[in-house]
Amino acid sequence: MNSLYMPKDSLIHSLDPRTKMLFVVFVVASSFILNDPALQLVFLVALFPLVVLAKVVKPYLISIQFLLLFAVLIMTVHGIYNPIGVTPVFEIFGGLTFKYESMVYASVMSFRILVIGTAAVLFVMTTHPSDMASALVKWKVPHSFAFILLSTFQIIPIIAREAKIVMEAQQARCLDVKGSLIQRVKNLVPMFAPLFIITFMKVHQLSYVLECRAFSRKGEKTSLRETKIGSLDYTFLLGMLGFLAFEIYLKLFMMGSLQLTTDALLTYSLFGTWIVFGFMIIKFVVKQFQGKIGGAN
Amino acid sequence: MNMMKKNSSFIVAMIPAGIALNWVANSIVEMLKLPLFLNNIGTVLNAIVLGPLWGGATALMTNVILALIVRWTYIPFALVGILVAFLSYFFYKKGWFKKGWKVVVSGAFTGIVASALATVVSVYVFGGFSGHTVDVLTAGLIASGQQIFNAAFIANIPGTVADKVLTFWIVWMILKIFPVRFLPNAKDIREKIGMGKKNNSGKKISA
Repeated sequence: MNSLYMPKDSLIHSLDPRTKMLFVVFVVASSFILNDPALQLVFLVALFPLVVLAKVVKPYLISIQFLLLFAVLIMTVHGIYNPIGVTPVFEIFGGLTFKYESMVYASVMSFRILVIGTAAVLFVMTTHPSDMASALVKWKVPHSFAFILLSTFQIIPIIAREAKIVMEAQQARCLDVKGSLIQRVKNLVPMFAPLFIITFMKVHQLSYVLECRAFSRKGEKTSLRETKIGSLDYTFLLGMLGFLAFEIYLKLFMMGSLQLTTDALLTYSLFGTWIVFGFMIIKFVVKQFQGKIGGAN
Repeated sequence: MNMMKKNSSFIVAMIPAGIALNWVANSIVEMLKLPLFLNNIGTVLNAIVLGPLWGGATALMTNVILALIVRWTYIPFALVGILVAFLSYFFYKKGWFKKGWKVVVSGAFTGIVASALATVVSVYVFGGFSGHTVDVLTAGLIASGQQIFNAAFIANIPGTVADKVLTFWIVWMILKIFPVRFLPNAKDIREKIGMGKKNNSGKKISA
């Protein structure tokens, strides 16, 4: 089992994990400071060059698809039905009207999800889990927590394999997987009981091994992968600080005179999500169809 | 915290295993074609065996791992898992794991509270949606004139209650037939799940 990490050679990959964690915190904070759809859209577009720089454009687009589903649902349902809306913007068939206030609310929420999603994907795809753990240890997070984080990635496939063995063994002993609903619910116990026992056995083994390697011993622990903060990280951090100051200035002094959010922008962003969503559905249908007629790949 | 000193490596190994159980439960449920998640089963087990704090840690780490592997929208729902860990430990400690119907009632109560919290989280963070298939139902209920909070709550509650009842029931059933030598605090657990002095030698795991 692996996280979404993509081993590539890029500027973002060579940053220290701590810098990238601060970057995620910065993006989350900014997405709350800039609670205006237009500014958030600008921010989202401004994050895209970083994705290109990290050379993860294609996997980024794949993983952001699901968040777009959120955006479509939120913008459509809230745009029509949210009770805070007063001013009608436009009407679609069936007399359903999109209202200005509720569209602003929905756009802020869905752009925030996309912005945070972009930052999270950028962090996860460019940071090796081991680097993340060693960075956490350097931040004085207890060593055992970093170990839990790392060992989970290894233990999930082990338990998943055991689960598969248990399932097959129980089926070989005539466990009925196609019975009535109540029968299948009852079948959960003979599935989970051996799995729990196997899990406990594995846990005991693992804890003996850990003790053999002096896990609970006090003192400094070294890591195989070293991370270092260099001049690149300082430049990045300074850039983030500058941007944050600019955002706060914009928020405090310019909001009165600056009115970027218009009906057109809201409408076009709504249509934009619908069009992208439509493409996703077409792609899905085509894939299903290809599977039906005999698997073109 | 006494236990942490004595068994620290056991706890450190048990939390990833609990996370893995939360994860793997999904595939078992899928294979039996049941409309459930059971994605708190490791959390409840850890809350009972290790204590509420470690159960809560399991829930938190489960969602962190899900966020790292799948998508970040799982992180806010860690709160729900932590609540389930604390509630399950509370009911276990109060002796509600002694009889079958009590387990069901405590599971149902946990389900109601958990789905209320999940609704609050999803309304404030994601406008009432949670990224599961129930979102279609939520959207339909909103379209039919429900308030957003009510719609999300109504859409959530049947699945969550059934899920938590079954989770509690399975953990209880399995702890009853569990070989004692694997549990660190077996004596306490035996007492609390209602099989105090009874001789268990006749009972074998029929699985």
